[in-house]
Amino acid sequence: MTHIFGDFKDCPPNTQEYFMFGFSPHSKISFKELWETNGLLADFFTNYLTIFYRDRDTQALKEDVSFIANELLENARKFNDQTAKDPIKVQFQLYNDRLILCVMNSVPTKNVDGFQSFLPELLRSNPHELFRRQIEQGKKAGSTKASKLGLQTIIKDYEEATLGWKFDKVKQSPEKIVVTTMVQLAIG
Amino acid sequence: MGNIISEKYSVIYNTKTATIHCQGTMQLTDEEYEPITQFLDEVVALELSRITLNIQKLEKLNSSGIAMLGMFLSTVSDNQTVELVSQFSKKNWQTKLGKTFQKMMPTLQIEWE
Repeated sequence: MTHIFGDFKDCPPNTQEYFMFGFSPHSKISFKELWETNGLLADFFTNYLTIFYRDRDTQALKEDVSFIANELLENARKFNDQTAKDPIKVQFQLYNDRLILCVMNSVPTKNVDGFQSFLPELLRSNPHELFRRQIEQGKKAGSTKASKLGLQTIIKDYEEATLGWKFDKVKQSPEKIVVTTMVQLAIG
Repeated sequence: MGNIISEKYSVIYNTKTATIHCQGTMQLTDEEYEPITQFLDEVVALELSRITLNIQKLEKLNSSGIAMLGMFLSTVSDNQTVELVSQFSKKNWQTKLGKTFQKMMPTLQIEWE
C-alpha cells in the first residue's frame, strides 16, 4: 500500500545522470558523532553535483543543495526506525533544468500517523505563520526539538523547490514502512 | 557569563558592544543547542536597552539552529524594552533568514554586511 503527499513523481532511478548512495542506519559510535556525518555527506554530495552544473551559478546552487541535503539527512537520522536494518538511501537525479533529491528511510509504524497528519498542515499553511507557530511551540517546550523546522524552512525559503513524500508498506508482518522524501529543485 | 567555544563554532558575547557573535559551522543536534539557548537567555536577562546579534561569520546553520535563533528573537520580543539589531552577511541563506526574522519581528533592525 502506498500513500503520496505533495509533489511526488515516481522517476526512473537511472536518468541520464544520477548518483546513488546508501549507509547503515546504526553505528557503534555515538549519535552525536554520527550526526556530524550529515554535514559531511551533504558537502560531499554538493561538491560532487556542482561539477555537472559548472555553467550555472554554482555558489548559490552549492548553498541551496548543501542546506536541503543536510536537512533531509538529519531527518532520516532522527526519525529512522531504530530497529530497522535497511540502509538509509540517497538518490540524486540530474536534469538540465532541475535536480531531484530523494532520501529513503524506515519509519517506526507508531510515528506514521503523526507524520502523515503533519504533512497537509505543512503544505497548506502560510509558511511565515507556521514558522512563528513552530518557534512558539519550541519555546514552550524549551527545546529546538519541538520546532520541526527542517521541511518547513525548505518550503518557506526555497521557492524553486517542491516537496513530496511516498509511504510504502514494504512488509506486512511485522509491518514495515519506508518513506521517500523527494525535493525537486529547479535550476535556472 | 561563559562564552561557548568549540572546534567548529563559537558563540561569544562582547560586553563592551553588547554584541553576540555566532561564528563557524553550526549543524548541531537539538541537545547541543540547549546550552546555547540558555546562554542567549542569559544575555536577554541582563536587561540591556540594545542587543546586537552578529552572524556574519556563521558559515552554516541547520534548521534546529534557525529554531534556536528564532526562539531568541521571540524572547527578545516578549521583553519590549530591548532593541535588537541583527547583522547578516550577504550569503544566500542569511538573506533568506534575515527576511524571515524581519517578518517575525518587524521592529528588528537589520544590517547587511
